[in-house]
Amino acid sequence: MRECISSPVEASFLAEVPERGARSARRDNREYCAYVREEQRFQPRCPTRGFGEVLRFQGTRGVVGIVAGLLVSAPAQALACAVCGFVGTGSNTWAYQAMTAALSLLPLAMIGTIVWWLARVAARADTERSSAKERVVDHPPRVGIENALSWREQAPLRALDVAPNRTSTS
Amino acid sequence: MTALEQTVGAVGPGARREVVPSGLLGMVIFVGTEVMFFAGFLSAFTISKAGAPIFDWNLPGGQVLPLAETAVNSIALFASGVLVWVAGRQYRAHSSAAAQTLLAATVLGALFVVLQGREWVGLIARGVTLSSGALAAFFYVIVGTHAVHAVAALVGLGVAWWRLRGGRLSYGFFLGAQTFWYFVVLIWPVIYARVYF
Repeated sequence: MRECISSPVEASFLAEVPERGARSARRDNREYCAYVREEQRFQPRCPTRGFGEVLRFQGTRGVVGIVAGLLVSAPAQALACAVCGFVGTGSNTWAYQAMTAALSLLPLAMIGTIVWWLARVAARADTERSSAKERVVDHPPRVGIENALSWREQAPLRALDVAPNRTSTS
Repeated sequence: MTALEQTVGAVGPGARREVVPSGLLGMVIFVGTEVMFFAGFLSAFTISKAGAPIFDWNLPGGQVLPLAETAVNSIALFASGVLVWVAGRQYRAHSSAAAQTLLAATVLGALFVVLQGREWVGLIARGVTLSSGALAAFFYVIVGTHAVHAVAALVGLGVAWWRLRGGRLSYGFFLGAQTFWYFVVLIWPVIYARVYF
């Protein structure tokens, strides 16, 4: 039987359904959902799968509540370094707040800078591409142009994938 | 022909175009993670230093960190960074001098690492070890981590030089190695100003 089955009807139904996902390494057949192991609870098609997520969410809310309560009732403790335990000095609190702000803003600034840089490079590429198109439309390639233009002057043609005409047209 | 023209010119209309070489983009993202790595170290250092009693934030025996010697070492590192920038310009201009410039930059970077190692040997000989106190521990961890990054970046520059000599260096690889070395050079003044003073 599959991972976590609550009734014989469900068992027969699941027997017909192709299995999805990886099988667990250790699995007990005909196990009641109320007694499934933690690793089985999170497997696909386990009816109690969502309960764990609810419990985890409630646990997160509890932690947030504790932290908020600590911050309101004892701000000096809450603003102390979590590992070194230096509490009460003004310079330490200032350093803690400054470093928290820096570590929060630095990744945002870096991501913003990278996005801005990529947009700028892409815009430059678009500009060069469109100007190359206009130049080629105004001055279409002529016979023997590969001999007349330098490699740099041929760049707009390459941007448009227009190879200089190598055959005589007239 | 500029790099942008090379990139734009390499594709036809409607095709996918690479406005930034993948090697460069990957390295930029990696450098972003490394910046956060060092920011974490420096943050811990700053908070610990701000909260520590003044008599507790010293090296054993009243010793001080070698400020002047490290400043001299830093000059070698900055000169190396400038040479990498020059080598990049020469490489884009298809100059044959790019390989020599890149080699000089690599040698200067290696000199920085060797001189830093010499400082460490002197400190350890004077009894300053990782367990000598919070300052010593932070010093060895932060500066040592930077040295590891410098060695890794030097390997990248060395490979770039070797490929450039053989005419097999791709533009993306060069930009990646260059970017990583810039990171090593530019993060150093921050570490120096924060840890040594």
